[in-house]
Amino acid sequence: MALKQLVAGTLLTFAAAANAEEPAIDHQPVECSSPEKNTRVCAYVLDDGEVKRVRAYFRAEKQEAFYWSDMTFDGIQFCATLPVAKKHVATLEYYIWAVDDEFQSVRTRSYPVSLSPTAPCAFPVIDEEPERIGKLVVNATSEKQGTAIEEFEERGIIQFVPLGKK
Amino acid sequence: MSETPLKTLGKYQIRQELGKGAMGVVYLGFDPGLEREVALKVMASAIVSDNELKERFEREAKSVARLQHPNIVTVYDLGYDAQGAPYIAMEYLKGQDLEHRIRRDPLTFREKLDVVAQTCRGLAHAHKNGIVHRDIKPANVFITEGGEAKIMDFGVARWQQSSHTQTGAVLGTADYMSPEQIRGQKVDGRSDIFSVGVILYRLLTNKKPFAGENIQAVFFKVLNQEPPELVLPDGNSMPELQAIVDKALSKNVDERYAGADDLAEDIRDLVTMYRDVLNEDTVFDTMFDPAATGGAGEETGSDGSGRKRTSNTGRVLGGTSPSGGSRTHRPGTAYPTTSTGKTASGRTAPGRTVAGRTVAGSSTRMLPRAQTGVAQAGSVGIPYEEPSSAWKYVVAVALFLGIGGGIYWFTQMRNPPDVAATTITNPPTPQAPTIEERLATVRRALDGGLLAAASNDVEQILLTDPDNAEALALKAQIEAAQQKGHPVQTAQTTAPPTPSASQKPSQTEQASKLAVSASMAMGRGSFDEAEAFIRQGRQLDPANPAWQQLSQQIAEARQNSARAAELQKRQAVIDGYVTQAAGHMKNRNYEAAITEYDKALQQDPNNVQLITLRNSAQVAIEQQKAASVAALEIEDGGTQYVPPPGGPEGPKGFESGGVKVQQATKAPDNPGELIVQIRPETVQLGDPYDLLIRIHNQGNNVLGVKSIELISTFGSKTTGKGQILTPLVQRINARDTSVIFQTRGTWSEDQKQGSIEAVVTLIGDAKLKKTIRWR
Repeated sequence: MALKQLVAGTLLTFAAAANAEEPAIDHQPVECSSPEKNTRVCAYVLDDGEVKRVRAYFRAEKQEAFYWSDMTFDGIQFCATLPVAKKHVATLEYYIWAVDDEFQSVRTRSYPVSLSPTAPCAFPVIDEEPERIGKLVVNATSEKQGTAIEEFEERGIIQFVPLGKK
Repeated sequence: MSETPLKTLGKYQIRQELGKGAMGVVYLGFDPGLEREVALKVMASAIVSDNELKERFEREAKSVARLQHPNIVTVYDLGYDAQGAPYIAMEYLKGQDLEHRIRRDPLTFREKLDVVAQTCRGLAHAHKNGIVHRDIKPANVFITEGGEAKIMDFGVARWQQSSHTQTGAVLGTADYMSPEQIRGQKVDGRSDIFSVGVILYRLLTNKKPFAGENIQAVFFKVLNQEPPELVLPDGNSMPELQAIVDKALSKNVDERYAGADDLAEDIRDLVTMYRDVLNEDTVFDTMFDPAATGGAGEETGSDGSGRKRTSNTGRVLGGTSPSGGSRTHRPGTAYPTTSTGKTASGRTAPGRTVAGRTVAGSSTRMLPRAQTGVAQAGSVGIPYEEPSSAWKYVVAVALFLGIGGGIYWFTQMRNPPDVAATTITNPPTPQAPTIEERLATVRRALDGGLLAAASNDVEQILLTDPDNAEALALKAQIEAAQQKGHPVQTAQTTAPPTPSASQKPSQTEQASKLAVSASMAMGRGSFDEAEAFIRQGRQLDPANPAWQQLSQQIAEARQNSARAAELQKRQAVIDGYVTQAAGHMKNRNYEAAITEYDKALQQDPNNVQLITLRNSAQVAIEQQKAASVAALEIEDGGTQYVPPPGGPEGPKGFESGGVKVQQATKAPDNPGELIVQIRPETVQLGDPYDLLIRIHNQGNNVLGVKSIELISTFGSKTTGKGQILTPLVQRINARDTSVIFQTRGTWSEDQKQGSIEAVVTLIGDAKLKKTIRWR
């Protein structure tokens, strides 16, 4: 058992040495979007090994905890479709997190997304693909977030995953 | 009330200060002999030394003392304090003046008419006694607690027979002054009637009929524009009342009411007529909708003012007192009933005409009208009634505005006015005269020795018509006259009307005119000339604070002028850089363009246009760089077949060991050709591209596609490894080609070169692989 662990540890160390860099996230921030629409967040995520997970963490203004959704690979980029914020929400906040097969992770800074109806967005980044906006999976990051998403519409969310229930 | 150090004034005991006026302080006093309260008006000590003002003060006392009428404040006494300052003891009234009453406690409709009628009666009495008030305004009409109107402050009043009345400085308050008063012409009681007309109009509408942003604008309107038509809140007009107002406000003094009593009578009849029609709180609106009213073609005014008049003298209502009101046209009245927004036939909208020609554009509110028809009137041949007098109008307006406004301002500097607007600014520009009219003006100015003005005017003409032969000839004449040392004449020499030799103006009047000349010179930009006038004026009237203000204005104007010149110079430099930059931009030499823009920005760092231009050059550089890698060179490594784990090494029919004869005519089972395409095959940073994966089934059997993996490599980094993509189609028929995957990306800097390895896993776990590389 001890030998196995030693071998495994050695291999991991070797792999880490050969594949030492954390993923790189190349993202064009979404500055604004349309209220009552699903916002789409995409990023190029590159790694010297294999990108294992990419997630979009998001929350509405004044919310303490973030939610997250997986960003899936579309052949070029990793993208996630965010749920629709409730009408009174004027700003979203999000960041992107990625981890590679060496468990090296990286995240972007947080970006605000204006949803103000009084300041129309010239280039909204929205998702209107029915296949995607109807199959949203949202995960909680805090037990305080309970069992239902708040400040976002439930439509299109096929699964809300509370913390600890995954 | 503030305590006053004065305890007694002559025989009067001072009780408290009631207020301060232009000429002095008013106290509540007590006459112990007659045991009655009196108002004591004491001349301000600061102006006691001014003999002219002192005379004026005394004149007020003497003039009013001659008048005993219930609608004129009664003067009891004229005295002098220990310092020789004169004071007037007069009737002490409880109430408030009409100006305050209007602002604080609006009168009912009937009260308004009643106040005007009472004022008229008081004025009629004064006029019959040879006194013209000359400063009738709401502040000079006192409303007692019992509702009596009493005219106050005859300080401006002059004896009709006085030798001083013929000409001289303009006295009065701008908003209520009659046209002849503004012109400095002889005034009589009808001037007061005009002022009453203004009060009546204001009471009815809560608006001044000749409101303007400054004195010159007010003067211009008084001289040239009709006030907006009165309309009732329901949109109807009241012809009889309109006729009364129009008659009182007639610019032609001969068409105004001949006597204030006539106006009072007409108002009395009107009250009777409309007794059952009007609410007590009726407030008239004014019809002024430039966009809705018609053009000059509707004008039929016979008096040059654009409005019909009923008669030259007498009353509008003809002494009739019909019972019951009517808002329909009545014989003998001027105008038929109209509705808001429509111009009645025979009646013009405000500000239309002077001497049969349009003057649209004379105020800011006239601009829309000019755009909607009136401005075109001249071009469609609206004839002038008096073409030969057109120049008179142009000259007269310019001179009256300048001189009238200047004299008024000057005298008010000596005697601080009640009106707020006293700054000298350019008057509103009348509708631009034709070249011919402007040439006539130049000729006139030249003839009159106004060389500076003539020169200025002719330059203006040449700006718009540089080749105008007559203008060039006039310019030559002006220059010749200037070279001969012809003294530059000023407006005072032609100020209408010219005083006769027997009426030599006082020093103050001469100083006023010098002030006007200085103002006009300043307006022309002739600062040295203006300062020369000020120097002369100071010698005549050194104590007048106007000189200092004028000097300050000139200093500011000089500064502004210098600043403007500096800005112009700097702008020229900037324009030079921008022109250079534009040339570089045209030649796609963007770096050089940026250099020029940077130079320009050094001159004006916050110039948004320059910053934008510079940014556009920067963007052009980026685009240029992007375009330089436009050609996408794709290296296709060919399709590699990977048999499933444990399966044959190649597709059936291609097994190692050679081709079997019996299978030679049969196509291989998995001969899929993987096609990876990037469209378009150009790289433009920021532009989208499509990535397509196709499979061409070269075999005779259906090809099943299980999944796709796209591993992109940019430099040492990859993405997509381990990310399984679902194919768009899973069945590809024999000999068919299908798109199994499509996605869209955007070219970024690090994608300029790279590779994509497509790994398609087929049903059965065989794989097709292809790597393309590009740069």
